[in-house]
Amino acid sequence: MGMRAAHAGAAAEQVRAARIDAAERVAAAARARAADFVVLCGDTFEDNQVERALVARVVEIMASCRCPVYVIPGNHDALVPGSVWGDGSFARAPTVRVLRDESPLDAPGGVTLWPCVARARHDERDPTLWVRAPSDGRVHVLLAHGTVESVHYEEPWYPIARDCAERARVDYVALGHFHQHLEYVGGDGVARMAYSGTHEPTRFGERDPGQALLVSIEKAGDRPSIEPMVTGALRWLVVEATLREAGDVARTADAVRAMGEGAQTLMRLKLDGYLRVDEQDALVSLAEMVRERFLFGRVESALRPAPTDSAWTRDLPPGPVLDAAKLLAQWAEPSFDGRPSHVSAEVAARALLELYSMASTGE
Amino acid sequence: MIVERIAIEGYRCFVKSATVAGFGAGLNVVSAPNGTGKSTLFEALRRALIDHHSVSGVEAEKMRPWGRSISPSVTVDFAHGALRYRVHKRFLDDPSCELSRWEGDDFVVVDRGERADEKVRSLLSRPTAPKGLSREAHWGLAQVLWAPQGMIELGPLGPELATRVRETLAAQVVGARGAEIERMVEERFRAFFTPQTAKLKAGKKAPELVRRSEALALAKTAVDRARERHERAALTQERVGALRAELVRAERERSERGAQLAEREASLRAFDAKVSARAEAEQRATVAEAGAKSAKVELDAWRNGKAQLQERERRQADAVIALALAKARRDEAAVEVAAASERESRAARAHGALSELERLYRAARERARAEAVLADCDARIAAIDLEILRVEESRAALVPDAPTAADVASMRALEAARSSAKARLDALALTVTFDAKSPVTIEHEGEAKALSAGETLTLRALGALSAALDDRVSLTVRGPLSGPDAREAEESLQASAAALGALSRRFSASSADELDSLRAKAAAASMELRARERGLSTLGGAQARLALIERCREAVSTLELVVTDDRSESALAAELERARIDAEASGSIRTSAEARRDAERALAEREVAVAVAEERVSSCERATGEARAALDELARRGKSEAACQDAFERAALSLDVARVALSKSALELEGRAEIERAVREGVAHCARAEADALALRDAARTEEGRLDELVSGATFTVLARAEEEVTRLESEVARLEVEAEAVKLLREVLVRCRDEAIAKVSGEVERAAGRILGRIATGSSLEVELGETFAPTRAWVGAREGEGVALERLSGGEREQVHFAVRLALAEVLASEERPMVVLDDVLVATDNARLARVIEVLEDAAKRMQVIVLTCHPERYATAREATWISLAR
Ligand SMILES: [Mn+2]
Repeated sequence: MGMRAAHAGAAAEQVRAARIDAAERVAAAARARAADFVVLCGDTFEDNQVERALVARVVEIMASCRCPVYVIPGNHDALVPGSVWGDGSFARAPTVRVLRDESPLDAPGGVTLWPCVARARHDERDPTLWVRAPSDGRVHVLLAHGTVESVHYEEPWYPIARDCAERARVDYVALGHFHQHLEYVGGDGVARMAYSGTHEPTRFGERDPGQALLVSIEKAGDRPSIEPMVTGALRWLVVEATLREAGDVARTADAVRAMGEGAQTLMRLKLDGYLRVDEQDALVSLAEMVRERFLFGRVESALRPAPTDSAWTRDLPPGPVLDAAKLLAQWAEPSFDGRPSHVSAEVAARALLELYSMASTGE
Repeated sequence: MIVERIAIEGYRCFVKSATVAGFGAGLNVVSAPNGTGKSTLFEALRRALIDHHSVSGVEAEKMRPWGRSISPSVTVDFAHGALRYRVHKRFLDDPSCELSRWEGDDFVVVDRGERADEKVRSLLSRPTAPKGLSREAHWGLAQVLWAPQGMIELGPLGPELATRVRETLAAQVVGARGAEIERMVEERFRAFFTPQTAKLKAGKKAPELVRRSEALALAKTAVDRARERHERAALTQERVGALRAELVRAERERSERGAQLAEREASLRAFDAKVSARAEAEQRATVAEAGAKSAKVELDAWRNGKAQLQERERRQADAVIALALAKARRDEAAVEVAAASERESRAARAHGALSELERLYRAARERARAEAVLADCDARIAAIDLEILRVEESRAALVPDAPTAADVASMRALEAARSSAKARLDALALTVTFDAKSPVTIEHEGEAKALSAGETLTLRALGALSAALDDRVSLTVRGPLSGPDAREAEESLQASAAALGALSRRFSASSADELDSLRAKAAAASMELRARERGLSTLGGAQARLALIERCREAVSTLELVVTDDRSESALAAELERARIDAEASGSIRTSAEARRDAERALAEREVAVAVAEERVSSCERATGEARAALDELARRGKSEAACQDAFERAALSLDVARVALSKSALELEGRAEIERAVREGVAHCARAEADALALRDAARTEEGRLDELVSGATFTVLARAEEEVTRLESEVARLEVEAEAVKLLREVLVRCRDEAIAKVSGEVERAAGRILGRIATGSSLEVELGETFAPTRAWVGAREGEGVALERLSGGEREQVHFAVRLALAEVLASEERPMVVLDDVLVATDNARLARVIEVLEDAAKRMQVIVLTCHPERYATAREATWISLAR
């Protein structure tokens, strides 16, 4: 919550708002499925210094679950002085419990929770090492925030061993930190450890985000049933197209259109290849369509006029203007290496398009 | 532009009004003799078309006719495109300009003043004259098209004109469509950049890019600020965390310090309790000690008495042994004294014998020396005597009147003279030789000579010779008579014989050799004597002999005095050696005497020691007796020894007990000062820990306050929004930058391509000039190179190869033809838009008639595309022109 969304451009506020809506869907699911309790495994907030109104709103949503909500601090919202966890709204929500100590506690449904608490942004130690659950007939659930070994993640802190569940002798390890849904199957073929992933997708290029996990364990030692529930709303799409033939612009536009309505979609369209003279207008309307159709849309074009397309030169008078066009066309080709050092292929392509547009408008 | 009519009034030589009209659109030849104002007309035309009407200054004043104050005025009618115009200019006083246009039936004014000036100029040529006309470079296009009188040479074109020429060329290259695109590119460029510096424009007209970049810079500042606050929040969090941890530690420290202090105070109290316990133990120990001490005194009396008796008995025994020992030592010393006396007397004897032998040995040596001296003196006296004798003998052997070397020489001379005379006589003599075959006797001058067989006899005589053989034969031989020679030889012979005889007699020597031998003998005897005398003097002579005799006498008296026995010196020496060894073996007399005295002293000492030992024995016997008496006294007086022993052991036991108790308390009681110091330190530590905890609590509270303030500012949310803004602006700026860069690049590339094309076209002008030159000078064509400002720089005769020729190296005619050709070629190029007017004022004066005829052809050809006005004072030179309009100023 409260994340930075520079990559969403002007849609940053909507992206943040979508995460609130998704949180409400998580609470609704908890109510609908009559969950015994809800756990949040860290990084509920992007940072401890998010605005307090947001904290209050989130606590309100948590409280709306109609069941206890157990929260552990993660590395982004670590338990430090001045953290979000000191906000007064927690004190006013009796069902919301922030777990601040490494000590087991009983939760509804005969469950014992083993919370691991992050107290700093970075830590190189495995936070789960203290847990050794007894065989007392209760269902033991470990809550941790960290990086399971072999996961490649940009914040490789709080390492957690793959055999954490076996070693800690717990029935389930609920993990936070990694943005995508990921389950770990133990030596006995049973998955007792999982990342739910974020409840709402965060950025372009993520796999399987926007879910919450409904985990059911009948009794101690039973195989947990893990049911992913979609809670996310936004789609983050990256479409790459290389234009080669006549009609490719229109085809690309069709493909984009086929992706459906866009109020919940963020789109990055990357175009490469050659632009035909008669498809310039089509390209302009494609760019407009991408911008208008989606919550956020951006066209990143590396297109350049096709050197073999004589239609481009039709409007150019012979002499210096045509010479200049030929030179620019050569420079616009990314693979060409005789370009002056101060000129990039992108700028040359753009210059060439400028020249063509002047030639066609000046008639 | 086509000039149709020029009217002039009050201008230099044209005081009254004058009009030149009838100009054709093609070639016009204006003829006028010198001084009729041909060039004035040309100047007036130029001023009317180019100059400002308000021109002033010295140069402008020259327009006024000399000595008059009237204002010059010029009126020119001309056609431009499809329109006809009239310009009227009045200069100097009350200057004015008026441009009128022909509208059906009359000229109607279109502009006046400066604007009219400007309009006319723009009709004539685009780059307008910025200043006065004194410099050709300010003429604009007229610089190319108008050659003033005698000045066909084309100087470097003014920068604007050069640009104009280049643009005109470019327009041909680029074409109207290209120029339009170029203009659009330039416009687009200027929307972003300043044309001169190619920098992004600033201020009101700044492009969107600049405004966005500025916004971006602002947004970045906001991010920096937000980040700084956010980082500060993180730091404050850390600080608060650290302070809290520190506070916990401080509190713990404080309680630990308190516990420590309580502990130390307790140990101090325990210490003091132990101190009183110790005092009691000390008391008990003192009592036990006193009891033990008195028991010990009694026991010691017993023990000491017994020990003393034992000791004294032992000492007595020792004294007896010591006495025996002293006596034995004294006897040894007495024996030693006797031995030392014996050694002393033996040494005295040995030394006496040695002295006697030494004396004898010295005497023997003295005698031997005296004998040697005697023998030596005798020998030397005998030697001296022998030498004296020899000297006497030598002196006796001396010859008294001995011949000298001179005597010998004169005798040799005489003998030579005699033999010479004899030889000469022999030569003159008759010689008869008898060779006997059998014995014969030959008688001659009364003398008979018997010859045996085989003997010969030779006879000589002067004048005649007679001989008889065995009396049987008488022989007489006669020769011729000898003359004065014979006589002279005879006389010489007799004289030398006489002298020789005298000498022989004197020295009793028959010949010179004998005489010489005598002389040598005498000399040897004399030398012998001198040698002997020298030998004698070496030996000292008679004086030495006397001294020697004296020494002999002394030696003899010595011998008489020395007493010795019969032994030889060497025998004595051997004995002396032996005696010396003996003496050394028995030591010196003094040493042995000392040894003897030492032995006597030792004996005396030992006698004393014996006495002392005897004394000690008796004293020990006394002491033993006393000790024994003391013990008897002790036994008689009190407790037995065993009772004393028993009492002592009991007292010692109770003392040990007391001492152990004391030492135990002593061990525990050391270091009260240390405990006191520890207590004091503990108090200080407590105070410090208290203060630390208090300070930390305050600091933590302060930091927490700061943190609360930062937290309520939601620093992350602020930062996130600011960063989003920056990202948004960055992408926008990047997009605009690409656009601006693209426009810049487009212009750069286009300008480059155009410059390249123009460079190709100015080659066209060169080629056109070359073609014109080829037409003028058929046969020998010329090629021309134009410089940066289009002025010709070099020329090639024939093909353009090698270095070429600098223009000033060409002949005058060729040079003016080159300039003419370049002007015309440029005019052709510039003629593309509007028909230009070319004025040639009395140029090509150095060109021959044949070439001029071809120049005229060229001009006639050019006149199809432009108006050409030739001013000349030699109209006949242009007589070949077929389609010229002729205008004469003579009238
Ligand atoms: Mn995390």
